[in-house]
Amino acid sequence: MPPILSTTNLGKTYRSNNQSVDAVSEVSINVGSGEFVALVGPSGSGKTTLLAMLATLLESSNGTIAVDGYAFDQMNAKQRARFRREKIGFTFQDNNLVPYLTAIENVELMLRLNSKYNASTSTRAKDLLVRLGLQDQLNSLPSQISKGQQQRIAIARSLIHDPRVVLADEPTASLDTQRAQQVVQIFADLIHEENRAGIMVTHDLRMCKYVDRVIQMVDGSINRIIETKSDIDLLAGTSEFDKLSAPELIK
Amino acid sequence: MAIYLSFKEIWRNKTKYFLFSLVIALISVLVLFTAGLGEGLATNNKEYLEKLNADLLIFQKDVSFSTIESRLDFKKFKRSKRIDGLEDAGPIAFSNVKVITQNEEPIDVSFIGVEPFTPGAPDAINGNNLQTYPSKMVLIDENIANLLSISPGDILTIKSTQGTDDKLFDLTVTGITSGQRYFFRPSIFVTLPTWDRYRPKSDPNNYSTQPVLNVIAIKSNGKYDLNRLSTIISDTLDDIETADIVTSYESAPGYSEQQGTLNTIKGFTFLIGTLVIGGFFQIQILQKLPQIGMLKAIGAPNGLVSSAAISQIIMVSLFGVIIGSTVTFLLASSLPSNVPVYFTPSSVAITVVTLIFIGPLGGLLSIRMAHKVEPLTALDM
Ligand SMILES: Nc1ncnc2c1ncn2[C@@H]1O[C@H](COP(=O)(O)OP(=O)(O)O)[C@@H](O)[C@H]1O
Ligand SMILES: [Mg+2]
Repeated sequence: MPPILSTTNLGKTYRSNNQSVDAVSEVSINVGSGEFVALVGPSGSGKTTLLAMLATLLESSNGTIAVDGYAFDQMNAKQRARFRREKIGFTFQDNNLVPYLTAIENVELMLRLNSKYNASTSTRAKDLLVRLGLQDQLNSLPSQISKGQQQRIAIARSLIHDPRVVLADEPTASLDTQRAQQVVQIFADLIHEENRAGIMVTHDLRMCKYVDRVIQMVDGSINRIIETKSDIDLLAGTSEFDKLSAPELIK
Repeated sequence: MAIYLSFKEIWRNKTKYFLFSLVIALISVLVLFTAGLGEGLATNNKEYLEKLNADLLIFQKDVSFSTIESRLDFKKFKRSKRIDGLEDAGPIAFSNVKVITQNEEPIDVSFIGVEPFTPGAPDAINGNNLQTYPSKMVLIDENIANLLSISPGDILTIKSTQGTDDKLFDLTVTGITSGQRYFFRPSIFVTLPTWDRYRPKSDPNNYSTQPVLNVIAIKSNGKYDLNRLSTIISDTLDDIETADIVTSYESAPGYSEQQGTLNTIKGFTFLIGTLVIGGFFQIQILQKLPQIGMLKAIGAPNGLVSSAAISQIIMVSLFGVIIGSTVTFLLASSLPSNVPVYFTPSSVAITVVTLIFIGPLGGLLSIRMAHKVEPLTALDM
């Protein structure tokens, strides 16, 4: 089965004045259907930059990206926006939700953007929120609920419109460990069940026990890949594992 | 979809948007009242001239079309009647007297001498038109009739200074005309002999049946265009010039200055409105930049974000203008009738449409800002 998402020799060089930074270089990855991948590495290693390129939010400098048969370099801004709302589900670190829409409305927003809003999809949105434990917050505004609840709404939003790829940039950054684990577990389950390709950037290595593969980036390149769930389980808790996102790895 | 987003946002921030609508409403009230005052003052100034059933006025030459300064010999009127191309000519003589009331202060009125059934004499809407005989009849403006509850057949007493004494004269009301204000006073009309007899003057014995006039109103029979007719009149009569009705009232002392001042106030109020609305929505957008970036990142098209911003500005402005217009209407209908604030449908329509447009105009910059937000900002990059 061909991967949903694949990159070859992907690179991004930021240029400003006479300086240039190779934020991402020579990254080749494949993520298949029903696969959930964690992107780890010290801060500044290029994780967000990579995610931005995968989401068509940032143009690459080298290499290619293909998602679900689409080649990014041929798309204009309008087509990229359409691609994002149809094929990609997002959760961000912050500012995930529209503050004047209720939980259910925030999830339905993704359906409305895709002209897929109707009674049955609306019921699905509600069911998804219930599954995420938000049955009492359906009509709450983001300002009335906790950060963890907001993150769970964002996760529901990132899945409701049947995207091929789900991208999450540190979705648990503002949650306590217990909350974070609950959220990531449900997230992983939903990606597995619905055969989507998921990539989650995370600082928190404890979240890795819910993913199928861990890709460690250092200085813009892939430094190490822990390929299988059993390897991840073996490594988890050891001091070696803790070093995956340690700053001293910066060369 | 754009309406959905902007409506939800307004609805969930009702208080904030309502308060801002009130600011727009206040600006609307101010602009509408300024426009109404301009209209009212203009009407008070020109109503009689504007309603004249005439095409041209003949003035004395070189008096800047001032009805007060213009002096025309009665003979000029007689000769003017024989000019080719005229349907009719009417003599007009202006003065001021006071009308005595039962309990209150006397009222200042324009005392206008005309020849019955000529272009200077307005028609009665109640009672009879002014006639040559009997003398001592008066046709009065409905503004006075309403104020003093006078009907045709009643007696109107005027006070006029003759030499050094104030004298009272009784006139019988023959009929009532529509509003005929002139120079900020309601008007009463008498025949020329009565006018010259009763108008204030320094020599009480100096009056005639053919007095010196101020202007002559000309009604064309359509044979020549008005320019041609003007030339013919100027060639026939010495020492005169003609003006159309609009030029005549715009030349009244202070008229243009007054209207200019009010238009400047109105213009500034529009400008302030534009800046206030622009500033408000700009602050709104600045606060919303992260949210707008997020919307674009999840695939909201740029057009949606911009049209949501526009429709929000339009909704808030529209709401404000509607409240403002309603308040203005309520205030205006409770104003005493002698306050010169009038609302004509056309001036109100123009003002309201302009008010509705200043919202989006003021908001242009904020819409541009919304348009320029990069979706990448959602990733904090
Ligand atoms: N807009 C930018 N212009 C220049 N350099 C940038 C920009 N964004 C990120 N970088 C640099 O690119 C590198 C990778 O950054 P980033 O992708 O944010 O890393 P991470 O998400 O792993 O912390 C860093 O060295 C960062 O300073
Ligand atoms: Mg980052």
